[in-house]
Amino acid sequence: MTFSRLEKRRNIWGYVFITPFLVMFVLFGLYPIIYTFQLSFQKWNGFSAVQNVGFQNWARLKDDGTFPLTLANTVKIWLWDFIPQLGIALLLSMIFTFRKIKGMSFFRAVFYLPNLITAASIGLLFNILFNGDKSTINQLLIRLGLKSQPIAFFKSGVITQGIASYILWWMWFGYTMILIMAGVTSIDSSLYEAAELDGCTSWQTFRLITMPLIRPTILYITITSIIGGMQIFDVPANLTNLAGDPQKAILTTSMYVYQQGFKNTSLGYASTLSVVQFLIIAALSFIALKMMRRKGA
Amino acid sequence: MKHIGTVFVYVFLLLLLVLSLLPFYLVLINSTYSSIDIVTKLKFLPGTMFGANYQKLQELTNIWRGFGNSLIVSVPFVVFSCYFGAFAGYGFAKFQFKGKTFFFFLVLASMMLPSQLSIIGFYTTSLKLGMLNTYWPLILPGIANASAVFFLRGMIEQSVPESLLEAARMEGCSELTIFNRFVLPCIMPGVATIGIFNFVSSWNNYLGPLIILSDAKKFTMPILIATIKGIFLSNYGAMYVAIAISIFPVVIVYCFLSRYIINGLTIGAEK
Amino acid sequence: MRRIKKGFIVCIMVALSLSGMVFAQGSKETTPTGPVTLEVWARGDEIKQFVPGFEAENPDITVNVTVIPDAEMTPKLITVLASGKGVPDLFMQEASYITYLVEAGCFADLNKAPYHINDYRDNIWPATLDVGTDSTGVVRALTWQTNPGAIIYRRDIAKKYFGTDDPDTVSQLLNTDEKMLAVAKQMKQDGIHFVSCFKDIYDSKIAQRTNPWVVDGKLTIDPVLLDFMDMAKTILVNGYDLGVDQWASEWIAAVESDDLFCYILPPWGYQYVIKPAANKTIGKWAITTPATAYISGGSYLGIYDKTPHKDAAWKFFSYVLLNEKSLYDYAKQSGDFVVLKSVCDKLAAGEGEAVLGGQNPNGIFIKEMQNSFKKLNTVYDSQLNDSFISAIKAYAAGSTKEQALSQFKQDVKTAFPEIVVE
Repeated sequence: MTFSRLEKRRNIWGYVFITPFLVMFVLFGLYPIIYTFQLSFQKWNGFSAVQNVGFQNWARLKDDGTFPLTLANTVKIWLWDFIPQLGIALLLSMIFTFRKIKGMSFFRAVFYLPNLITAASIGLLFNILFNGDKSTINQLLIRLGLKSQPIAFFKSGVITQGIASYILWWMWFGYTMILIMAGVTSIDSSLYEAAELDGCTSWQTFRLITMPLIRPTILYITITSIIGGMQIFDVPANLTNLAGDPQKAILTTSMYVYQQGFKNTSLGYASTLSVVQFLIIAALSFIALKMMRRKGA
Repeated sequence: MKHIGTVFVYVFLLLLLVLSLLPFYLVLINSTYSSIDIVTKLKFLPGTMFGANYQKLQELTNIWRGFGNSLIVSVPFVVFSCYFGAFAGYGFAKFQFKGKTFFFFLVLASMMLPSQLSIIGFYTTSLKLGMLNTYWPLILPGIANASAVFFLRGMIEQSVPESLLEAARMEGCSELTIFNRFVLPCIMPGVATIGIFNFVSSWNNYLGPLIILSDAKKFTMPILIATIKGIFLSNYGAMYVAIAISIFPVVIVYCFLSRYIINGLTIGAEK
Repeated sequence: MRRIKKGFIVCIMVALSLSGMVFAQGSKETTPTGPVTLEVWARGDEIKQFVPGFEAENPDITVNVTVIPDAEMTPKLITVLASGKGVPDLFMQEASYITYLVEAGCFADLNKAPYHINDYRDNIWPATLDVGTDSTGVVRALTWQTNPGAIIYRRDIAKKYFGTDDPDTVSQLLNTDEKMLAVAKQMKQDGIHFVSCFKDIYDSKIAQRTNPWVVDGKLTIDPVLLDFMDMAKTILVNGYDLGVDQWASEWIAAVESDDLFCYILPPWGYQYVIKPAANKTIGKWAITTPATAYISGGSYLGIYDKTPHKDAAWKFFSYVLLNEKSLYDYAKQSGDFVVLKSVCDKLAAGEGEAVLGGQNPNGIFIKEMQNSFKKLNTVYDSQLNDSFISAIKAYAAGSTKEQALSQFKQDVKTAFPEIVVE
């Protein structure tokens, strides 16, 4: 009796322990979300009074040709980063788990390194490496004999998008590789031994044993990558400029929200864009989840 | 046949190695040349202009202050996220109370919620709290770091035995003492892992400081780097030095810690 | 165990003390009496040149200059203006951005006490004053520079193609678009770029419009700009310019290369670009006037209307902009052309510039400023110019003129729903 009452009293401490988290979550997590939603029905330029405008921002969204363009840009940049990233990461993790590679941990450490560097620095770095006819990269290409004429990288939308995707790939393939390797090493080695006894080729082993067992890892990588990928900001914002030049080729949705909110000072409309962006991310994550589940079943 | 395969694999790995390291190498080399040299000749060996470029950089910005500002934000953020992450994680792991499932659902939900999407709301909240242009909105959310809570809760469930807590209670320790004295030390490896990753994410945070900080004296490293293009316009030499300063401390620390970081990542992935 | 705990306590203490520093920084209040510190947000470092002289004359005033790039300035200012905390006492913007701030009402009326700009009015170039004047005629911002467009060209290349490097003759030979393009074509055959960037010429066209970007709330694309699209396309497609944006490293480095004929820029171009970069090309440059006089650019400075340091702010403002001695010293050293007519006259009477082979361009600039200039600025200028430049690039890259223009109109609509676009 006394014991259980004591225990009950003690469990009050549970609330104490989670209170700091809850308070800050409400303040900096929940409230901003609710406020963003509320602002999507208002007009505000940052310093004058807030005006309620009903669905005006939503109506404006209907005629906004730039918003769909930014979505398309974001998806394009993400896909061209994500597919090679997953491919190379799978290949590397297979190489590292099934072959004895000298200096494996060195390679692995170097491949992961770019992930730690400030994305803003990397964006700026690639900007000055590629910008202009006499840029370092152009000089390098000409010196190596790969090109006879300099390439105007930042005048072509496709090339600029490609560079953005390349940077993201460069930053993330090592990370993805490590996650996949963690998934692969947690597979029971007796399964592989059995497969070897049955005379499976390494491709068969990969397809029949490894792939199904690392599906949860791939799912996790895909969903986090969608969430992160749909919000790309740092790299494209610093690669050319915040307007996403040339011709908005690398203007991503998050950059557009920033531009509308803080450059054009339409904080209300920017909130509307954020809400839509959120719904799209939720939908994409849901679809990814469904697709993976179905394949798994 | 097998040999050819091996050669092929190594060539592939070396190629990726070059791709991974080339940008770092170019930063080092280019930071030692004048802007005019950088756009006229390709260099592979270091030059002599690093000092001059650095001086030009320091004339217009204070890169080390940016470095210090980043520390002022990142260190408390990491400490808060580790301590309070374990704090809440302990609450979820070892106590039974009403609404626990709901509250834990909040943790999971906020892990999935992309914080960038409420950036306008985050800005207005900070404005209403009078915290614009201060470091508070960048530090305090550390207390509500959902992934730290989630990760450390798992850690506590796994590695803090009930018997240890019982014994401490018998001795008359208060719950807070138990947490500080017994629970925290048990999960130190997990705390270190989550600490490293939160440090990296806070150190690299760009959008948050971009909208919160307006006084250039308070700019953190990423913001400073982003404004450098606008300030120096054409002085590539100075820009390369700035990039080098923003990159190489991290690279050097990584050289010593890479094994722990990668292990931490692997443990995290297995969870 | 114990050590770990101790470590943790140390960590927390470090964290708290660091946060304490943050707090201390955030809540610092300026004192109304005694020594004053003025916070100035500048778009470049040139204003720093005035600080040592000013502080020597005013030992109780310290000036803190913070450099913020043009594109970041407005978002940063909105943030501080919204919270009313940490607003600088004086801040600055480039001419095409300044109208937004001038009309937003965050700058003080420079003719209300303790400010009294009207005392200097007769001595200030009217066109320069116009840019910082709001729609009700109140002066709220001014620059210490004056910015008549000029052609800054290489004497040796001029001699080769025209047989002379005389400024007046060169000016005559380049006084229409057709003449310029013909010369550009000829030079390109020898691998010489005619002009540094098509944007140089865009800036002159922008000043030649009949109407500003927005008239009675309606978007107006001036025929001058429609014609310029074709000229720009010719320049870009044929490589008559350097192929990089203004201020790119290559654009500056071209001062020292032998494959560029001219920059078409106001005196600030000479001051920021040619003079500092010229080394082996010292003496090889000359300045002449373009076919049509125009003004472009300039760093406009204003005083925050709620600054607690009104007197100190005005002291600094007038030291930088309205003090004959400091302006003269500044211009002498930098090669810039300035806002006070009396100082310009003095400069014109002085020695020439070594970089220009001894030429003193101030006489030319004074003559240029005798023209009348239309006031065409609107609050939308910086963004609309950026969008139009981007439309020009699209046109040059292969879209049709209609596509490029409709993209431009679309951009205007999305950025400013209040503008009527037809």
